[in-house]
Amino acid sequence: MAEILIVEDEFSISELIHRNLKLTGHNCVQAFDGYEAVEILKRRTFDLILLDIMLPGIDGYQVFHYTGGAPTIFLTAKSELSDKLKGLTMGADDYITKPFQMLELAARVETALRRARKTEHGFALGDMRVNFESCQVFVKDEPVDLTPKEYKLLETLIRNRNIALSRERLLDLVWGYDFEGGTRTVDVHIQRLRQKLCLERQIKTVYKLGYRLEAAL
Amino acid sequence: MKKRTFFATLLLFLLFFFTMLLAVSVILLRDKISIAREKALADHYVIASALFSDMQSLSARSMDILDSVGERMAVYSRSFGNRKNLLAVSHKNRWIYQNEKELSEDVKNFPAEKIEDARQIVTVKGTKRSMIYVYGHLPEPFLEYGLLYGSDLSGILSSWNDMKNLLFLAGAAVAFLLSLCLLKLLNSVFEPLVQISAVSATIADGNYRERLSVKGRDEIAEMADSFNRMAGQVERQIALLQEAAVQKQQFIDNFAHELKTPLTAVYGYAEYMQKASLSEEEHYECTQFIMSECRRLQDMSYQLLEMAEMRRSSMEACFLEELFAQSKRVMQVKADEKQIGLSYHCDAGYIRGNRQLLLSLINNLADNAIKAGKKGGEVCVLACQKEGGTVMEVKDDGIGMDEETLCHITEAFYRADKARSRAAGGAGLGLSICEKIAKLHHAELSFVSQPGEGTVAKVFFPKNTENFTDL
Repeated sequence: MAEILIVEDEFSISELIHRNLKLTGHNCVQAFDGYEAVEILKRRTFDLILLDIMLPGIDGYQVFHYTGGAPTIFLTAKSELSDKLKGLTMGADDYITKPFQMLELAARVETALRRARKTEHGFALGDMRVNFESCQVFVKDEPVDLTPKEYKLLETLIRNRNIALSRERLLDLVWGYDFEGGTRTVDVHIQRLRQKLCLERQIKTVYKLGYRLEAAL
Repeated sequence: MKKRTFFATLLLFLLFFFTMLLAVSVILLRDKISIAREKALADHYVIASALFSDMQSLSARSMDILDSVGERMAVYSRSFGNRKNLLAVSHKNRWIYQNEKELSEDVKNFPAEKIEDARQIVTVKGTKRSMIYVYGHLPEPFLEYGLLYGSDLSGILSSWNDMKNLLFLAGAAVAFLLSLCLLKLLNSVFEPLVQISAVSATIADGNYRERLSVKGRDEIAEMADSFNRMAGQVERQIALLQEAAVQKQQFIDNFAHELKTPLTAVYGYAEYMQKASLSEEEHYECTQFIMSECRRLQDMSYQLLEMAEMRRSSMEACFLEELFAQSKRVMQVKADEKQIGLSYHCDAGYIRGNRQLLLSLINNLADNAIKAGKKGGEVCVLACQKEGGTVMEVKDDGIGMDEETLCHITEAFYRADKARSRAAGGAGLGLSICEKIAKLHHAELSFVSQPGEGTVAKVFFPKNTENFTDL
């Protein structure tokens, strides 16, 4: 549950990012120009800032000086190397160019938060509780034995909750790119997770896509 | 070219010069030889007549002529001095006297058996020496005596030889000097050509600034002048092309950049809809976003097409009154949506132009005014006849612009206020198109604006706009 500031002048894009981040359980505040962003940053701090560079009023580079050291990801349509370098040498954590995919954005946000140790320590859904620090899973306060792959799969589903992940994507994220087994492996592990953790209703099969862990927002 | 000219000129000169020298020396030689012949004839005559009178006196004293001829001839031989001359006397085809030990082969024809009146003269060019021989018989009664006189030519020939050598030597020296002068002359003649070729080489390499220096007023200077004018024209054209290319590149860059935002949004919302579980409301909102972004892309493509369309526009007389009525029908809806009053006043007749483009110009300006207007505001479009042309104005009492913004508003994709303009559905091409249309009609598009007080867009159509240019 990170606090994230989205600075983006384009309403549709800002709203899109907001919705996506809300799914994975983050709290977002939106600013639509440089002045507004600076005003908000003066009042409070954030765990992560998504900052567009081309803003009406004052641009993203100038807004960056007010972030107070919070992890920042620049977000822009400028894709020249010099622009990227400028953003990164100023101390930004990452740089995403438009057009971008939401999964890419989510992954980068997750990485930036992990680096800043701002990720969740635990997660609870119904009777199930997960402690990310000790890597333990409890159902009704009883510890459940999970294989490492099962645990990794559960963690991935939780980190990307409310977003459908394809079998291929899950293979990449959990088993790694060089895994040679088929997507049936994913189905088998999902079945086991559902049984062990009583998550039959929460881990949904999405038509033609894959699986989604549904949790209340 | 220079080398060819040099060698051809030099060769021709040398040919004529030395042919002439040769001709002169040959004529001189002939002249000298004919003088020598005259002299030899005269000498022969003198000796023959002296011998004749000697013989007369000898025969009068009835002395033996044959014996004393040798004696007399030795005297003559001495008096005709130099030893090179030959004297010989014959009697009845037999040499009875000669002042040389042996006669050369050249005179074996003499003494002639046939006794003739005329004297015989022979010029012999020998290997050892060249001679003129004169042979003649003495008059009656000493017809059987013949006198041979040989005059040596070697003096004349050697002096001619010396003269000829001197002449050719001098000729060679003159030719050498001349070739030097020729080289210098050709250098100075070809120097401008060399310069021109050097300058055109640098221009060909892309340095369009290079120019020739113009000196004097001759043909070369004239050519250099027109060459410079050509280079200037090329430089100007290239600069224009480069500017156009830069503008085009900028337009494409901007266009690509403008495409990114709607594409990101469309893709992002579609992805979101596919991967998240949505409520009915969210579903509606997302599709709404996708549709409005698509409409933006559509507007952009229409406007781009319109810009392209302008190239093939035809001109006709357009009555402003009609255009205003047409525009009002379209714009009234938009004005009503924003609750802005819209009025049109026309005090002008017609202007020559393309009906569709002029309508687009009026609509674009009115649209901008409505977008900038505040709720309950007023937008006024009016046209009137002024001195020198027709003026059309679009006034609003909306948010206005500062000076810096005014400088940029006709650039493609520029937005005074990005959030507002995009929310209002603009693609950022409107005023860029307006300016192009105005330019096509030789009209001037200008803006007066005060932040917070509103904007006046003014289009001035000059009266004399018969000759339209293509853009």
